[in-house]
Amino acid sequence: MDAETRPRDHAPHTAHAIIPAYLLARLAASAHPGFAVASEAARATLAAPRAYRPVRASLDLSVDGGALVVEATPTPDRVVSDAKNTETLPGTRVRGEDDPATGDAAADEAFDGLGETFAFLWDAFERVSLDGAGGALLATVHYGERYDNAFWNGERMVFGDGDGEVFTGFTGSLTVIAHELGHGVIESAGGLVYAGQSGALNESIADVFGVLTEQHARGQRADDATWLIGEGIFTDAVQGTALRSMIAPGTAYDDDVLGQDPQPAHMRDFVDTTSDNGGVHINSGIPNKAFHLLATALGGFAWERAGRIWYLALTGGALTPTADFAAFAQVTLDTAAREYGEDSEEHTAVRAAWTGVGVIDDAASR
Amino acid sequence: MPHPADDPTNDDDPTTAAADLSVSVERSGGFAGLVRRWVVTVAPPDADRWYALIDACPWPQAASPESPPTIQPPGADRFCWTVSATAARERREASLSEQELDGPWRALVDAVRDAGASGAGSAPPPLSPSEQ
Repeated sequence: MDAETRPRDHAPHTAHAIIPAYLLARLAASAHPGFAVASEAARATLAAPRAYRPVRASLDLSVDGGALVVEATPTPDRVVSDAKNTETLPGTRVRGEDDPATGDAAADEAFDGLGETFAFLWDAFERVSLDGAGGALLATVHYGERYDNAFWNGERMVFGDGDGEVFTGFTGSLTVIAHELGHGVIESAGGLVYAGQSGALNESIADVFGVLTEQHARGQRADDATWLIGEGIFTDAVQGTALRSMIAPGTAYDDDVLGQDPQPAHMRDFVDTTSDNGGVHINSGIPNKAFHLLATALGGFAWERAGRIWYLALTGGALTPTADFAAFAQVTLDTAAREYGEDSEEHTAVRAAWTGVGVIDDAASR
Repeated sequence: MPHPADDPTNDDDPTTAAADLSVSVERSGGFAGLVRRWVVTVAPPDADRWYALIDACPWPQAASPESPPTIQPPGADRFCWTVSATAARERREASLSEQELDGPWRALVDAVRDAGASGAGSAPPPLSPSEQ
């Protein structure tokens, strides 16, 4: 039996639960001997105090022998709005979770990208939405006139249409969508001050969410992935394949007008600048490369171990908002040692990754 | 910014001095992290219009690129703007977040971008077609 519940805002339903109260109540009341255990568990669940926290879920119910098996997967609550080429947010609501496609490519691509990112966060890290509590995923498209940017405004991702000269638009790239939403996860996890090294870490971790979401959606292993951010968003007039490369920072584009990709891949090439909040989109190349080194050293699906270490380092409470590269490296080392063991393959690979980009040196890491 | 022609200490021919006015805009940051620059070197017939745009901006209240603002606007991947105006004897510079780029700042930046789209720029086009 397949059932999908779509609790409305006014409907009573439970928190963690994923399983709605009415279903628990039915199970609790069941006298069927085969359901004795489930019935008892349901009564206990209903008795436990819980906060009102709506989480949408899809339920998969099946009967295995005498047991009722309930598998629940949370589902997203997406709202896409259209700024209609103004700079007013949020704009007009054009698509909610249960609405059909709008026919507008930007709105529908944004909607789909929100869904892919939600699915990735749940599948890889069991995180329900950006805030970990099933919060709505909000997007605005068609922001501004020929606006060449996509950004996170603290509560929603906002997409311009591009100017048609450099960018064709942004919603076509899942790495861009997941990058913006990654900023939301980072903020919810305590944040990283958006300047200097902590800002470059903020950018880098958002890039990691970006590429991992795409790899997850495509079923790609670390060795098969492009590790490119924003592939395909440049117009044909631009000489470049993407905005950033995590395999080889500094090689994504080399164009007459845009210049050359300025990202360093090693601390010896760290760029001191007052532009871009202290080069947050430039020096992110260094932790980006460290993540790529770790993921390819461990192999397999990058989110399973490398991504998990980064995610736990971000959300584990040990990272301060002003952390620099070395401080983040230490938290990832501690996380790997705790999760996989001191001198485990993972712990050793994390150390090698940060050593490889010059954030920790060999002597200091012993 | 004093118009050189109004400056009693200015010994230069005002026409020549006015030709020295230039306004540049640098946009960094954004999701792409690309740096774009637009520069306008103002030709004398248009100097008054440009001085009006420049003088309308609250330069003293703006942060400088060397000492960026300490309070961070929320969010990520917003553009960062640096605007500078240089005349014969004076240079002004302001560092602005995207949220601060409003009112007179927006008018000045839009004018520079429209005029200096090529990145080089000599005489700016009229600010509006009606002024042609």
